[in-house]
Amino acid sequence: MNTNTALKLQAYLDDELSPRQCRSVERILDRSEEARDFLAEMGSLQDTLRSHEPSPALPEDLDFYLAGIRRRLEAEIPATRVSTATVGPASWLIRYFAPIGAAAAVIAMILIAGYERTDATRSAQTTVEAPNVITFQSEDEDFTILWIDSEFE
Amino acid sequence: MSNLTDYPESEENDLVQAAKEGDFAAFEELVTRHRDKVYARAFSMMRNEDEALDLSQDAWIKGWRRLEQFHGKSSFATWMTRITINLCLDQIRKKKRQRAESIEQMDEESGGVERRMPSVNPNPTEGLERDDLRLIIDKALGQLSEAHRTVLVLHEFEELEYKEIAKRLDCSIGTVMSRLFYARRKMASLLGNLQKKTD
Repeated sequence: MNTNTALKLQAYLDDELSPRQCRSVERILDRSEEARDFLAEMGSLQDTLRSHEPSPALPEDLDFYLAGIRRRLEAEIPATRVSTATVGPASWLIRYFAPIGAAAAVIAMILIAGYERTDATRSAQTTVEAPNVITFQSEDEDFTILWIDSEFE
Repeated sequence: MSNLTDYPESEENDLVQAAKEGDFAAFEELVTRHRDKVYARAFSMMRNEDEALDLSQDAWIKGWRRLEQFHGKSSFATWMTRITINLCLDQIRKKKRQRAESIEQMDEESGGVERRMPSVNPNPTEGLERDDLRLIIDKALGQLSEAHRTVLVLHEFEELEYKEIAKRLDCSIGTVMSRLFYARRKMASLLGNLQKKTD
């Protein structure tokens, strides 16, 4: 059997031929026992494979597997927690507004920290350790001035 | 949000709908039901447990993200296995590029189809128990080249047409036919040999 015939027979088995090509293959089958054997063998193999598809079971505990999926989803959308709660319809809101919200929170924290720091510097400036002593401590410049009022009574 | 409460008892369509509405617990129930099938398809393509696990999880993540695109034209399981197949094919391509291995180097090109193949038993699996046969087929699949196995899995298990396989593998229909032919012949021969070993 030549290449062309073998591939035609296979295509016939796989229902890939036009009606005209089918008739042509059927004529070959009528006159060739080798072709009929070949087709029967291919058909038998196909049936065997399709009805005995290997189905190895998941080699991992289901909870662990599900946790892996959840973890990966959460890693992609850090601001979101994948849970039984709604994720779908509101997800685009979360997806786009969560980063903005997080950025706003960080900016707010920086501003508050800055304010507190300025306040701390001020209080350092006015710290009085003795009635005639005034100290000024600059954390930014890393120095301290100690001013003693000798005329203080 | 869905009204589902008893997920294990719910109909698949209801679970899919609930998952589309954002109910992740419904989606997890779908994972629970079809995890083996999705994993098995990834394993049949990759023949590596770790890769199959990773890719099957990737497939579920992709499935979750693309649920809106599932319109029920096929079963949910079929839709998921198609996603899995696509991910596996991407991974195979990536590995091929890394190995700088040309698809043209596959052994079917080294000899014509007309060359006499080893004679095989017309029904090499006759008399075997169902589970034994599954194991033997699995083992034989593992002995095929990646190119042959891919075409065989796509055709026999995914039941894709030549045209569809050629599109997914980015090759000609003639190449698909040739690989499928050799894959079948090798499979028949391997099954015969494996059966002899088990006798």
